[in-house]
Amino acid sequence: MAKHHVTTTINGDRTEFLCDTEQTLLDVLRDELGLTGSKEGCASGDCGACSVTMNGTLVCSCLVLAAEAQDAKFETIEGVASAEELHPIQRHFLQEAALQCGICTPGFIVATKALLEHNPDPTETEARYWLAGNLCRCTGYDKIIKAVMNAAAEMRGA
Amino acid sequence: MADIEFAAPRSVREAVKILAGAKGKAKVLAGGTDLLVQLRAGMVRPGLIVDIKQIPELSTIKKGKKGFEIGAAVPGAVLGANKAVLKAWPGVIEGLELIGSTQIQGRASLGGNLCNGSPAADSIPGMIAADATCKIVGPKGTRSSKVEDIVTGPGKTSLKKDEFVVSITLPERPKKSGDAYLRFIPRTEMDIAVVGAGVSLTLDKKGVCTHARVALGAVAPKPLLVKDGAKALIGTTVDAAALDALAAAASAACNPIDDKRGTIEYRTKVAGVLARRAAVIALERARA
Amino acid sequence: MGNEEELNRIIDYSGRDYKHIGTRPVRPDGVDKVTGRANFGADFDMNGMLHGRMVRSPHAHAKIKSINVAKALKLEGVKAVVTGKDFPAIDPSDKIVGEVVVSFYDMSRNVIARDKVYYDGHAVCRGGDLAADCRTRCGTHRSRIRSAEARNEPR
Repeated sequence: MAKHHVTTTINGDRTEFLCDTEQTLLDVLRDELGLTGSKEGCASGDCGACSVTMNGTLVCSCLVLAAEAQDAKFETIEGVASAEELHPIQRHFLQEAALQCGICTPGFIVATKALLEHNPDPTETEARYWLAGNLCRCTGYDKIIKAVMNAAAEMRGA
Repeated sequence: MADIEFAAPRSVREAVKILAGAKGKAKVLAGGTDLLVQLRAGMVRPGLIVDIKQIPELSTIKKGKKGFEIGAAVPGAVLGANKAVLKAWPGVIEGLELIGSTQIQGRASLGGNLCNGSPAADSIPGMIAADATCKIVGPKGTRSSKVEDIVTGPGKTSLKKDEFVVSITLPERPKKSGDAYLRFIPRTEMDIAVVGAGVSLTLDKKGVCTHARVALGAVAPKPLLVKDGAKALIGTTVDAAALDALAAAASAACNPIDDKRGTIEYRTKVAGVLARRAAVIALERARA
Repeated sequence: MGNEEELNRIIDYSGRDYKHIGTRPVRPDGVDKVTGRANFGADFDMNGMLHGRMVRSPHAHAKIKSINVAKALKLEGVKAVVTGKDFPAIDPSDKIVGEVVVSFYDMSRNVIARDKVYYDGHAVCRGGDLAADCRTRCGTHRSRIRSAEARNEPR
């Protein structure tokens, strides 16, 4: 059967693509739209490396069918930095060395941004629970949490 | 491999028509947190996927005389933010909210968790304890079913061909009532229940339990309603003796399997422990 | 001053101004990684490239009776199928590799199965396909693996 024609908004830009039913949003972002920032770590919603926001809600793009993207608004890692500068979360990840290989990093940054939009003043425990769906093999999480807490403080104007 | 068709109907009537007219197997898509994983693994091979999230009734929460009517596709993130439901039925919410991660909560729903039919589903014991019912539609019309009658075995439901769940109703909450759900997993998050226990109880003015429902997950081929557990609580002040009787009844009701997550002996013991602890939390909430 | 005294002299580094030591530089690949711009292996896309997919054993311990690649090769877009038989058989003897001596026998049988699969998920064959969705094509590939009883007790 014919592919689905989907119109959607990604990082503020109106985007169109064709997809098969079984293609996920992650497949389309990476293979059709050239947005390879979101990564495939597990394809089963366990690792969070594919995290994006859909209509403001944090989701795994590997668990969203591309066809479901019709009329929805998405934010991916590519939309986090502005044209001129890095987002405070990105700066703090760099300053606190919250990344090594970096493959989990896009997912963590998108998830952190969603956390701080939901709760600008999380405790460390709240941050850890929120980020339980983002797995990192390299860092041991400690520096990531430090970066998250510091970014939160800066964004609160503290 | 044959292509899979996709439809996103905007009304219940349209959805029923599409499902009834499908050639081959059709799968209903709510949050997709189980379906997409199964699709990827080749565990299901549908000819059609029907996305029900564009149907208003499936994605809204209504408060009426019967209680809270929750659309089957409402995600955990949305339901958890509904203060009214959270106040009335915290045990149901905490069951749903234990599923997966924040990302999963952005999509996973009560309807999906129920109809996926896992005996270890985290939202089901709380719903059973709440005496929840669901509204089902199909080609023959609309019908109602108790949540405890939906799952019939691992991955199997009592839904007939081309039927799907539109909404789940949590009844009106009497005064001096409380519910709670607890589960045991070896990790802190992101795991499947080894045992899940949901308890709901109501007290009278003197603090005597007049009504109770106890449900267990992951200890039988389907989630269990433990009638003897309720009997252990009703007519008591939920004192130590009643809690002992509850724990014993919970363990006695177990019929679990040995697998990598837990042995029969372990699950049976933990079922008693969690039922007791959930009852204590429900009691505190009822007294508050 | 003898050699010993020289070696034991504690060198005081405080107050010295180093270019890198004692500083906290941002890693040079950091900006690309936090913006999603950094390309990992799977992020590359080149004209005419093939996509490979592993077909993995569903059995924990089994003898491979046969792998039927004919059907897979007939599928549209499939350019090649590779199994353990396409690789040289490595003998168990030790090889001198640079400074150490290793046997590649076990590793060669783990990378892709020959004759026997040792665990659920052991790679059995790999399809090379033009399309990014070759995952599904490898899923329909059929092979016959007779399951041998898994031996759990040590002998």
